[in-house]
Amino acid sequence: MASEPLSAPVTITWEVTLGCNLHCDHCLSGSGPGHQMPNELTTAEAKSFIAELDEMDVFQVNIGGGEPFVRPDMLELLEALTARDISTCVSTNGTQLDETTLDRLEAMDPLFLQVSMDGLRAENDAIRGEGVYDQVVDALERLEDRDIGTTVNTVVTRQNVADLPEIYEFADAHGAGLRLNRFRPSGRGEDAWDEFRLEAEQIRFLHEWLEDHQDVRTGDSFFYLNALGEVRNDTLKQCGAGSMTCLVDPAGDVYPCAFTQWDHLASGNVIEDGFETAWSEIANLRSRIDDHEGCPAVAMGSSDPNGEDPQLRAILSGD
Amino acid sequence: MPTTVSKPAHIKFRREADGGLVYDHENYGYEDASMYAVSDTVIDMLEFVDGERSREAVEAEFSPDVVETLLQRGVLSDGE
Repeated sequence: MASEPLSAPVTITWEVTLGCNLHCDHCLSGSGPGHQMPNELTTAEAKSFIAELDEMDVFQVNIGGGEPFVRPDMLELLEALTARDISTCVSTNGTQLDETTLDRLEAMDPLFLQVSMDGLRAENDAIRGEGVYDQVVDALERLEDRDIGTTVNTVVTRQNVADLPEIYEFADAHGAGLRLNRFRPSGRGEDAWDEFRLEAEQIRFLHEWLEDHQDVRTGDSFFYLNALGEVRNDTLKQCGAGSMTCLVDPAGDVYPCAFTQWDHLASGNVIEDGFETAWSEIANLRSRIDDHEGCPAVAMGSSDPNGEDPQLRAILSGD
Repeated sequence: MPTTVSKPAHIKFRREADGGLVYDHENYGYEDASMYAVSDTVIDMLEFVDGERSREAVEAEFSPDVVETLLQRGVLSDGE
């Protein structure tokens, strides 16, 4: 990759709201009903930000939250992104996808949808709420007939890791790919860490299963290391926080990634400072986080900012 | 034989201080996306193609070998 800092990120993650109709036990952003921040970007501010993303030639925007579709203007913003030919990926809990919404989504291109399913019915609903599994299955069945690239996403936990083969088959039967994320001690996940994190034997099972299912995508930088800490493959999964990607929170504040939303790592606001300025500031942060093992940004934000990422050993080996 | 070459919709590119980037993305996330650091020549060519252009014109402006290489990598595709 170029030695100079990139003029713009390749992709960004944009958490458009902290509001959500669900209140999942492991939510990495701590979202829930009524959790909207008071200063979330207005429609006009969001559109101004989208125009700057286009001017900077950002290739891809990953929309998350919260639940993006609780924003009344979400479809309008997605249309603004895709009309500018920005690859747009939307992560949703799947409960807000009525036919009118799907009609409008289907007309957008390039747009890709990710629907969360954290286990089969019992495991999923224990975490995400009673009846959510059936709503997600209904949404995936209706998406099957639509021309919308769809992925099922599972945050792998102690409770659902054994369900992965069935979730894989389910997704495949509905024409959807499967994508996994590691459970991390972030947001409400911090409180649920000891309850949900994988045990050592489950981590080994997961990595062996992944080796046999190369088409399963893994949306977390830790996945490019196997259970022994060895590099599994050489895709774009290595940490790109602050060098290739960054996170924009609902108020427009910019951070290296979703897991490093600490004041001392904030690098500006997309409205007050402009995104280009905030991105330039990120390059300064990046030079300070390159030397850490594991997830460098998490290491930097830990109680020992010069040490190893404190989550690394627990996530890789179950220690 | 196709007489035009085009840039597939899933290919995005931009110029950087040193050369440029080509990004190939067709799925949710970025894990199976591809990104290449490329020379100014590749960016010049993609700008010249500007969606779709006669293969003869692109080969004359650059070279048949470069066009063929980018076709093989999927950065360009055959048009009509």
